[in-house]
Amino acid sequence: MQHLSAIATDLDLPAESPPVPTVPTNRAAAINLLRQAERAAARLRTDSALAAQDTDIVELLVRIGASEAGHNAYLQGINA
Amino acid sequence: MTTEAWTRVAEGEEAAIYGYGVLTAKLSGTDRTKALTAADAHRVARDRARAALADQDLNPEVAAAFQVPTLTNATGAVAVAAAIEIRLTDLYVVLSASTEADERKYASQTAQETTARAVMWGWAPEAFPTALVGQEPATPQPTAPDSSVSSPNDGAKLE
Repeated sequence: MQHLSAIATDLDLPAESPPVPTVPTNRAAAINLLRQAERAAARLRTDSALAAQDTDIVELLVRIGASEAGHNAYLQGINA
Repeated sequence: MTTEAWTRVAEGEEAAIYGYGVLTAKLSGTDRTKALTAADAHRVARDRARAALADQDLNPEVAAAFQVPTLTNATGAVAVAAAIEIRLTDLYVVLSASTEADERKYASQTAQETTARAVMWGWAPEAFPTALVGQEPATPQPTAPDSSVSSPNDGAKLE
């Protein structure tokens, strides 16, 4: 960031650095983070399906959401 | 199209209840508990589908008995459970495209639940979960009514 500021003063750089992603410290924590991401993605897919107009897109989004829910279930199984 | 999709979901859920009634007998321990819980979820979903049809003054006939693949052990029972669930995913995907708003949301969320249960039963996760690609579903199929057969489902009398 400082380096970029020094060499490109005209760039419109954000005032703060982007948040640093949480790095899991062990396997179980990593899997839990993945599960959270899959659940969030599945919820998002439902929201997108609700907003979609084209029925083919609706089916696609719902199937992707189902896939993400399946990933969550799989991760739960290997973390049990 | 909405009516047809709800009807197929109602039939699918009825078949699932019947199928779980049969396959649960082959399971024990944790798997048996999971199967009983899944069957309860399908009863709720069946009732939801029937209510949606009743709102349209419809009460479609549902097969009284279903043909379930011969089950000789727990492994076969688990495979049938997975196939039941992934087949229902297909039906809910179709329902989602046939409905709007709250009904579409319900269809989407239920497709996620059935897929999660399929994976729990050993179905390999895939990008676009469906029973229609890669393998033939071994789900319960309707059979001719037979009054001599006792129902393994939720106590409904066969006719």
